[in-house]
Amino acid sequence: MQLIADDLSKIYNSHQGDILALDRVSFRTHDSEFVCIVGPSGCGKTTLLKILAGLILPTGGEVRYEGPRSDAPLNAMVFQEDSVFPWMSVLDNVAFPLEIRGMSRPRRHAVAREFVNRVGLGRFVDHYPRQLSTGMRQRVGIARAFACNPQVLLMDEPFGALDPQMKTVLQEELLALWSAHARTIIYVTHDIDEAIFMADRVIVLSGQPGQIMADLPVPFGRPRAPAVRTHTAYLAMRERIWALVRGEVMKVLGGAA
Amino acid sequence: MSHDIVAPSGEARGKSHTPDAPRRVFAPARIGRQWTMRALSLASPTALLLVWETVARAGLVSRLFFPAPSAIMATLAALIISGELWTHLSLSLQRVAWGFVLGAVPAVVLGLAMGWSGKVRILFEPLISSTLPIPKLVVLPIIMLIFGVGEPSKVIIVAVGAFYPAVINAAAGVNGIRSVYFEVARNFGATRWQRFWKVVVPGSLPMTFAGLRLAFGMALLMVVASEFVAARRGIGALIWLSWETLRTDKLYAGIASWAMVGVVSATLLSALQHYIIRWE
Repeated sequence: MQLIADDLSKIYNSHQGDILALDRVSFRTHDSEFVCIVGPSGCGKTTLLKILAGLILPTGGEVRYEGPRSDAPLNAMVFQEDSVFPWMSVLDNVAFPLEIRGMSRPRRHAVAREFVNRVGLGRFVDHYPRQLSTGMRQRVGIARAFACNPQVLLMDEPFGALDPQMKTVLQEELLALWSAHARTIIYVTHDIDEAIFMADRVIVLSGQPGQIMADLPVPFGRPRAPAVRTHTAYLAMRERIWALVRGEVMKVLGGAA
Repeated sequence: MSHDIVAPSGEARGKSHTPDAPRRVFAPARIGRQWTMRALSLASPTALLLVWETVARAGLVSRLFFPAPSAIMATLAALIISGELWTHLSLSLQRVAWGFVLGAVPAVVLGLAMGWSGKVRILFEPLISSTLPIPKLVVLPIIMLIFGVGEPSKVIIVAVGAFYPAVINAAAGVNGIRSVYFEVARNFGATRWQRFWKVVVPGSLPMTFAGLRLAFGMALLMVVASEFVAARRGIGALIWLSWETLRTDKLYAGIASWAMVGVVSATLLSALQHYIIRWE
């Protein structure tokens, strides 16, 4: 499945006037590609992802999904904020997209159980989200997105609220899950290291309005050992992205002063 | 790293239930402390009853105004045995039940609809918010004018009292649902109907239920007030007629029995809430 963002723009109307959040963003993913989108905060990353998910309409441009016809849903989103339903057990949360699509209770529970096990929460299937930590709830959200077998996964800083250790563990879990259930992933983050470690390709967005500044392939194969973080090519890429992002941050600071 | 099995992380292993280790260590002391606290919480009501009993028996206060608790209990027992209390109590409870169903059920339906649909909200909110500040009891004369002094006007005033807290809480409950839950449902392709049953109803349930508890308390209040005015039977009538005939022991017995109804119903509703809203 290929995802094509074609000339996407988004203007928000506010009392202070119109705000251009996204400016002519175009890219095309390959099959089962892991694409990270990085950029300074407020660059319209979340807006872009919600447009790709069909949750908000772009002001200009269009989103296309190209691939063989399939019954599987086009996309599923993992949200930055806590998005697991507090009134459902872990199992029912993960089974929710399947329930929506009319799958019988025993079948959807069987599928959901498999994915709950895969994110290491097998002992917690009957727990309610309130009884789990933030990191565990985010894993439920990831299991839920995988369980509905989407053709494209859209992830909005899923580990943004976690401490660094937990983040590293979940990144590795996600990569394992992805290699077992390969599909295109669009992963938004402001963490440059996370982007390079996870992605096949990193798209760098500018500050407001969000425009594509760079579209860089990551020169490492998989599976990746944590040691790639010390590789010269890794450091060079990191420095290059950081220079782009730093320029954008300085612009914002300069504008505010 | 394995690709098939994700090892449970330290977080998953460490965070099973609420920690119960300290309880093991300090068990006797803590239980002893719990009992002490419980006993202390009973101290002031017990003291009040003892002082009341002593003072009433000693004749320091008028026994007509303040009959001794033991005398009230004796009267209450007599009322129970003769079946008189039950005729009053059952009638009042029936009025509460009918009025509550008539008022709170449509209120919850309307409140959920108002919380969910801007159109429904605009249609009803001006009416509800402009009549909300009116103490509902003042409309009782109008209701009696229209429906007479019989059963319907009592059921209706109870319904009016129960309606407001139920509708307002249900609407607020829907408004309080975080928008990300709706985005999740839409992202997975939920229809409007599925969003209603899977997000709106459970998401607003804690607030809605709190509204129903308030509504029930209001119903208990309204029925007694309406029975003060125009009834020959019912707990309010028992209290009012006892006052008119200066049977203060019966008056207190009526109050005590309705207070019991309040306590028991609040306890039952609280238990029901914990049973239904297990996730909180």
